[in-house]
Amino acid sequence: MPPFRPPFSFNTIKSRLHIRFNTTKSSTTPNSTTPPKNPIFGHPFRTLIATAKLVAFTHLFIQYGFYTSPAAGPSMLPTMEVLGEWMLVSKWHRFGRGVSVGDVVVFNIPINDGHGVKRVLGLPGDYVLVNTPHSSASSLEEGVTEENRGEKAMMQIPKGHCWLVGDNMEASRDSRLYGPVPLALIRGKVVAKVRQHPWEFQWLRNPLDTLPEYSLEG
Amino acid sequence: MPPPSQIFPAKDLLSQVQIGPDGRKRKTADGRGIDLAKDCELLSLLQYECHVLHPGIRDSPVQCWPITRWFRRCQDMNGRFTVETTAWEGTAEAASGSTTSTPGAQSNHQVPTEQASKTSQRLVTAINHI
Amino acid sequence: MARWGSGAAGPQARFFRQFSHHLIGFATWLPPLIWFNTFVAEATFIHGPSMYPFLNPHYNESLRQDLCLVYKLYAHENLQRGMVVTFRSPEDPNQITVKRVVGLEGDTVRTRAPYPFEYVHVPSGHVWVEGDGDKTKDSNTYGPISARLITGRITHILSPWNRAGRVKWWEHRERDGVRREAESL
Repeated sequence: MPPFRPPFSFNTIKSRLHIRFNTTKSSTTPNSTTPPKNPIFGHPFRTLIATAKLVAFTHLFIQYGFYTSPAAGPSMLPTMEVLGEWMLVSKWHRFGRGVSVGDVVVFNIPINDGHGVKRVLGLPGDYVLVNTPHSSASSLEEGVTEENRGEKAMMQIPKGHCWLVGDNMEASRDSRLYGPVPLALIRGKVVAKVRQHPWEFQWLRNPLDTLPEYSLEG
Repeated sequence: MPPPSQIFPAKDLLSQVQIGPDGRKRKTADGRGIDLAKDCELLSLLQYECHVLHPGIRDSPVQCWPITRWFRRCQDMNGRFTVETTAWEGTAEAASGSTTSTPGAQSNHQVPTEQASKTSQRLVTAINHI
Repeated sequence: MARWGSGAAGPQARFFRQFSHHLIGFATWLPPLIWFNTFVAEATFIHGPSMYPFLNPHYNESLRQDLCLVYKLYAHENLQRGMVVTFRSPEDPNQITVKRVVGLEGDTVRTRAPYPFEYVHVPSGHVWVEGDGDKTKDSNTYGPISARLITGRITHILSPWNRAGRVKWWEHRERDGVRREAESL
């Protein structure tokens, strides 16, 4: 059984660059077949560099693969709880790649340094309602009737932008406040959510993907 | 923040939809204009008005009133696009816009009113699992 | 004797063993390299005439492009008027654009040709960017951009040699028609 040599040993690089950290008899030459006694912890620099490489790899994976993040705030109720839920975010969908209307995305808020979680209601070229539709109960209270409902303001989403609105429209600051958001600010798509236990894992479904109740085909 | 785009009232939706994002008339497969009610699939999603009943308490119950947002998924020669019809569905413009109102479309028009009557029953009470 | 399992110790086998060993050794350096290029600094060629004559002054005479150093760490923080920045185009997220910061949040900017209004107030968290040249598509087309779109700052010109050196953005003459936030108060 040959001794295990991890692939991230830096002997080779060191010898390539003609760096000699110590010149004692035990220092290895490129062609030496006797491995150093402890390939990882043999030298302080080696540990340091190995850690840096691992951190860089992990960070890149988080940037381009998947990451989990705690969801906080009341703006996505009841899809996301106020506290205590985690979400799994796909970074493949960053910059709005492959995102469709109805998806929930994580994005950089264009007017400050925070990030938000909202639902996509419109993509470039789509038409959206600019103001807030009210639940039937509250619109009746405010005297909004079938007749003046037609005066609601709408717009077409400009090139490269999207329209984001939180599911809890009462407590959400979103496109209704700062207008269409550039797709380049989308960090990823929320694909699943987890409560505090791993078995409470739940994929997030796009409500527009399936045929609805009142379909013309139905 | 893009330069302020043209905001139009929802009653003009049918005429606005005929013009594509490049400012030219949309091309469709059969050469006719886009008929929202007839050519486009009706979709919906629920958003909410939620109130945290006791904001000071950690396990406060949450009350949510659902708000249905309606969408039409249309197709032109450049591909698919989505039109939100929440403020248009069931209005006079929608009724006059569709030349041939199918029975299905008729039932769609009743959806918002039907929902108004159901509102009190559809109050969703969610309890936070914290 | 054999480190990687194979018992054969012929010269070919040994060469292959060493070669693959070196290959893996180099591969482990790729993540740190990509990481550095993505988050710290990167050398980039500049395409097009939008920053003429500051960058690519000979764009219509030769195909030569300027090579610049883009510094990416905390790029969208503490922006100043005059800085040359790279950002993702608000019209196309896959395109990286180079422009100069002309107005900061709170400023009132007198706009140029295609913009529909004569004056614009730059909203919070946004900046007004313009190209130095005439052939440019900038904030006058797509409005103030969110500072979050900014991915880097051009700190040095690396090539050609005669113009190589630090970008002295603070020496750039400020454009007329920008009223600072403090003055408008």
